[in-house]
Amino acid sequence: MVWNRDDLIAGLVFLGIGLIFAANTLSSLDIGTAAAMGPGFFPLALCTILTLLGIGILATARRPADGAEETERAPLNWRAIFFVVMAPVAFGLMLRSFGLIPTLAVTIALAVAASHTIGIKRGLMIVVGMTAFCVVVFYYGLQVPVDLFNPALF
Amino acid sequence: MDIFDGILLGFSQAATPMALLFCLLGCILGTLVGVLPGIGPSATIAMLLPITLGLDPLIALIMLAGIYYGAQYGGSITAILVNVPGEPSTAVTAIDGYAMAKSGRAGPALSISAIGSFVAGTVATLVLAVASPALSQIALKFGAPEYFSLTLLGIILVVVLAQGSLLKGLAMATLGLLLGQVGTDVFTSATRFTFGLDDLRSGIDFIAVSVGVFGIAEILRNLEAADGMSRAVHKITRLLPNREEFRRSAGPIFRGTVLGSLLGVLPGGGAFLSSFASYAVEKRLSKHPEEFGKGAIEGVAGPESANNAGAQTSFIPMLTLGIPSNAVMALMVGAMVVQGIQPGPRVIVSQPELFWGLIASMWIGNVMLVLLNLPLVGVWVRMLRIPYSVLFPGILAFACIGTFSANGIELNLYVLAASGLGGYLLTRIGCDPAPFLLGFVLGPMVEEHFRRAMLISEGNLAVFIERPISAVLILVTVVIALMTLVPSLLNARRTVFAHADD
Repeated sequence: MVWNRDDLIAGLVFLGIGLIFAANTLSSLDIGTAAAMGPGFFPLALCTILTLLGIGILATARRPADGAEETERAPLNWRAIFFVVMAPVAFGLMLRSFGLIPTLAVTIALAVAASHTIGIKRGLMIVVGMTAFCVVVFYYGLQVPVDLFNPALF
Repeated sequence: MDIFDGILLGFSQAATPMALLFCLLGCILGTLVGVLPGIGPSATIAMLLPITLGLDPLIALIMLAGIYYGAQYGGSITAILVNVPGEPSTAVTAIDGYAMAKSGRAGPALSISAIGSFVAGTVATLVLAVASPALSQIALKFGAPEYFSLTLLGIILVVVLAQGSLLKGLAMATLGLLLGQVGTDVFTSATRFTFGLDDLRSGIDFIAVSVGVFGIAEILRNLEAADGMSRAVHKITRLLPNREEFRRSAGPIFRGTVLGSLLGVLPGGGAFLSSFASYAVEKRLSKHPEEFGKGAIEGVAGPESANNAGAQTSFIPMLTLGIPSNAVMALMVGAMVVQGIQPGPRVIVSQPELFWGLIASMWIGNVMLVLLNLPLVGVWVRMLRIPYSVLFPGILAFACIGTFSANGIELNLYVLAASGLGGYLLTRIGCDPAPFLLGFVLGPMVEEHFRRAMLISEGNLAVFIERPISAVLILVTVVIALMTLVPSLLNARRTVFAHADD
């Protein structure tokens, strides 16, 4: 018998989320009764179901070893994950203090950095081209209400 | 209002210059994302949701719907010409379509797929027009208990048909329901799970979550593989099928249309399931099953008709019951909600111009797609040369601005990043995001129906099985869940015993 790694992780994740939300519900929300439900009743029911499903997944995660159990797949691409996830975060942090153009340039540069096949020259072209394209579409075309540059900076 | 009046009203709504323009725009965008592998209709619709906020509701829905069925047409182009299904629903088309392209019959394969899609789209649109008002009449009699049971059934069906195990699908749906609880409770105005963040009082932003789960997660998945490969595209010599090819396609187109129209209505069904079912049927019925896989035109005509019919009729449960049958329909429900329309059986009665206008626009869109696709196929093929490494930085930037512009809250960008990462990692361990999104959209509705039902029955859970319609819905739900659960349990036992013998 071996643990199926995916099921083990999934079970623990759902179990953990169920317990955390249940603890939060019990400590801060009124549960009430079935006839007069408080704001915590339905969430607590969901937490209970989620926790039970997590346990269920864990219970079925141990299976007989039959060799071909673990499927081969591409390893996690940490570089791509880091840069792609950082792109929206940078966008959120920068937009108000710097304005649309610097923010877009950094966001797109982060995206470019996520790929290992784009060279410096090509990357720069993508950053400049895509920034210009997005400014035309969103600022001039759709009139999204943001500044191109933060006026306070100049 | 009878159907004839409805259709007339629909065309008067869908034939305005504005409606036609956005229908065309949706169809072009849909074809484009259908052609481009690595970006699908769910991600596109999610990213365009914020842009549609400023539009009239009907115009917004017309464009978003166009993206969905347009992607079915576009996906078949890449499936046939380069053996890369742009959309999962065109995966089976690639088998025989690509074989036809290799033997110099790319043109007829493309034509038959467009003609089949058009016939299927027309018939399915009629089915939609006839079935929806009738279904919504029934649904109007539903009370809170019936609605709760119906939603439960919808979720179970999506879970059963999702990829991966039943338990994980259920857990994902429950997680979605739970995260849908974040924000202010409508009954008591207590805030729930906001963790001190004021911006979460109105709930976790639907747009940020769906763009994250589909758009960002999709980028991460694509970056696992090597990006920027070039593809060999087969030449198109003659476009139109000959008499023999037409004759052999008529049956499959007809059967595919019927099959797709039926399966599309099922929650979790839609285009994807329909095309696989049709391929299996055609292979079994064919007098030359040995030709399948080597360029049988039936293997293109059937699934292509089925996936388009399924794409159209999957609108039925969304439009009549407010219950989305797949991820794209969940996004459409979200689009209606952000427009201030409460999806459900009342839509047809209270906003007939919206319902009939959307239906009429689907037929117009199908005409546009045939005209767009056949003569312009060369243009679409050229799009295939754009390497993914150029494409995804743009997609990422669009996702960020789109999410932000919906309501100008920075927090939504962090929600976007978190749901992208979470969605990607969960997919890797076999948890499909579709049930999650469905639960997330339906979360507030499920709770409302449940609490209303409990108020009526004074806290007695038996209300769900004492009312006949609700009881039937619950029974079907339980039977379906058991049917999926039991064989897998039996299998597990069998393998345990088999190993015990060793």
